Amino acid sequence: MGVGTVAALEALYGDRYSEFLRVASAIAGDEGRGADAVQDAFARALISLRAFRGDAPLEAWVWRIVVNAARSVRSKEQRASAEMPVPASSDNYNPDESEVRRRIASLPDRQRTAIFLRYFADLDYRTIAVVLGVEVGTVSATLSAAHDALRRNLEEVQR
Amino acid sequence: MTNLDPTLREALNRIYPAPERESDWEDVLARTGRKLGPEVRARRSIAFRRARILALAAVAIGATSLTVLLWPAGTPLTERALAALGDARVLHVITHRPAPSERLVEIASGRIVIPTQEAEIWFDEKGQRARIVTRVDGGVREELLQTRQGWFTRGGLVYTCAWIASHPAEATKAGVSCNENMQNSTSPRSEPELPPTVDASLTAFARGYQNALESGEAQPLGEGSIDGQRVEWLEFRGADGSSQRVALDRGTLRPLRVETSRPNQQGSVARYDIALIETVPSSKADFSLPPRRTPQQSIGKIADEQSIDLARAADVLGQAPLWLGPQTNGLHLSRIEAQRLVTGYGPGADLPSSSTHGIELVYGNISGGPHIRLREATRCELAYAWPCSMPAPREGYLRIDNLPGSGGALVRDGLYVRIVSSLGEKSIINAARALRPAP
Repeated sequence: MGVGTVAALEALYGDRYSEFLRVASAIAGDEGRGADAVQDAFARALISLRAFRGDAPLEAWVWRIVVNAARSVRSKEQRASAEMPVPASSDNYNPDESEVRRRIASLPDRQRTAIFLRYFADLDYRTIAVVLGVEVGTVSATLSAAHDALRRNLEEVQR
Repeated sequence: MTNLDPTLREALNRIYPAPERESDWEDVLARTGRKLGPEVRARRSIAFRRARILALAAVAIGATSLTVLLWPAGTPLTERALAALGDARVLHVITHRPAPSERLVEIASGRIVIPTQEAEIWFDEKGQRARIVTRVDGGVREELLQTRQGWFTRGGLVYTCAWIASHPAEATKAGVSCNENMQNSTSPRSEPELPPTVDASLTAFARGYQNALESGEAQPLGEGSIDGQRVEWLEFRGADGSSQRVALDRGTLRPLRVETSRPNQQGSVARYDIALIETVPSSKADFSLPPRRTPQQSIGKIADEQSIDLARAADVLGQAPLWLGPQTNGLHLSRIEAQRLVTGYGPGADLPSSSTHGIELVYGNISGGPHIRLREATRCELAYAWPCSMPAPREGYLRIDNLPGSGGALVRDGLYVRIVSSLGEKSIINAARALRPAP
């Protein structure tokens, strides 16, 4: 793998850091753990550059590493606390929002991750499919199911 | 594709607010070291070695005195220089050199000052784009953005052949063509835009330096000194055949000076001092469109003139004019005129001509005899050879223009003054010093 890929990786890091951090933080449970996951993921990507075969876009490959790193952080936390981390709100406590938060946390992992990748990183279905290791059609079904579940909840909250 | 739901997006944004943490690439590089096991270490790629070198360099630059200790013994100069440069996508360079066609005179002392011309360059070879900002004495003279979609300056679009080929109708309307018969085709066609260029010498350096270090083509020439500072010289050949000699600071290994010469221009060496050189990710580079300047004057003329006295000159300008007294250098104030100045802005500016008044004071005889003329206006007037695109010299300085007969220009008390003399440059400087408000 050439030097150009290192530069491309650094450029990707610089260009999309805030999106990587946001998705990783959402998955990992807070910004500190998310930031740690992003840093580790890029370090891992740098070391594994030779393994990058170029059969998917570099960005999708990196997203996959970041998502896995964030999931790994979350798993360790879950093992430690035996529950899914729920992100703390920056606003005042809001019981309705708390319900939405719980509903997001209770989504199946793939649905939750797909929602984060779609809403926070604006990834298209093809890229999300590479990140999640599924077919493009599965992404569509996954997002649709997640939307339905969350919309129902939002409607209940807003009623 | 499932659409993004605005209500859900809003809820997600509330629950997961956008983080504010800054990125930290050096930390990523540092973490690569902690993750390597012995079996992986043995298979380090070139890319990884470079990444580690960068990490070391980041530390070294932060603590120059430790540089020598941090570099493994025997690391080649070119590798260290490459690490000092970094390998992000965009090369960012700031060069300084004496402005080639301008001189300033400090009016009080008569000291000649050659202004510094600064070029700030963002160069993204992979993205085929460059942005060059030229400043003289701190003031922006020109900005140029070169992209695959076209070239742009503060004056707007630059008509390149690639743009003309893809916009034949607009090009015909604008009266531009790349064909000798000035005819454009009737249907658009795609033609590659010229690769970004900077000053030819700088282009060769910007393009070649990083590549020459990476490929090992750059050859160390040994130690030297620049203005008492010890340097290491490197040499490489630019893609245009030029010889590029680069002086590196011995501590940071960053270029301090570039000297370029071409084989067919013997003895001609272009020198640039490098005030800054680094590589940055594209997110930190500036490839913004140059801001549009106010419409550029295209025509300036003295439409009519009439003789007046000093008191009336103050009315014309709205303030007391500057003069040299009733006489100077044995030349008497022979004439004062109010002049109506008309400025046109060219067909593209979509602006009507504007008209203002200036005054001219003539000492001596302008019909073949010795004379000094003062032309004064309250703004930059093309009729007085003062285009607004040229920033005014700082107060207390006189700019000597290299155009024959254009004399010197200065700003004082809010007046734009041009001094033209048949008695030579010294008389212009003396006149600038002797200027004072008329009673």
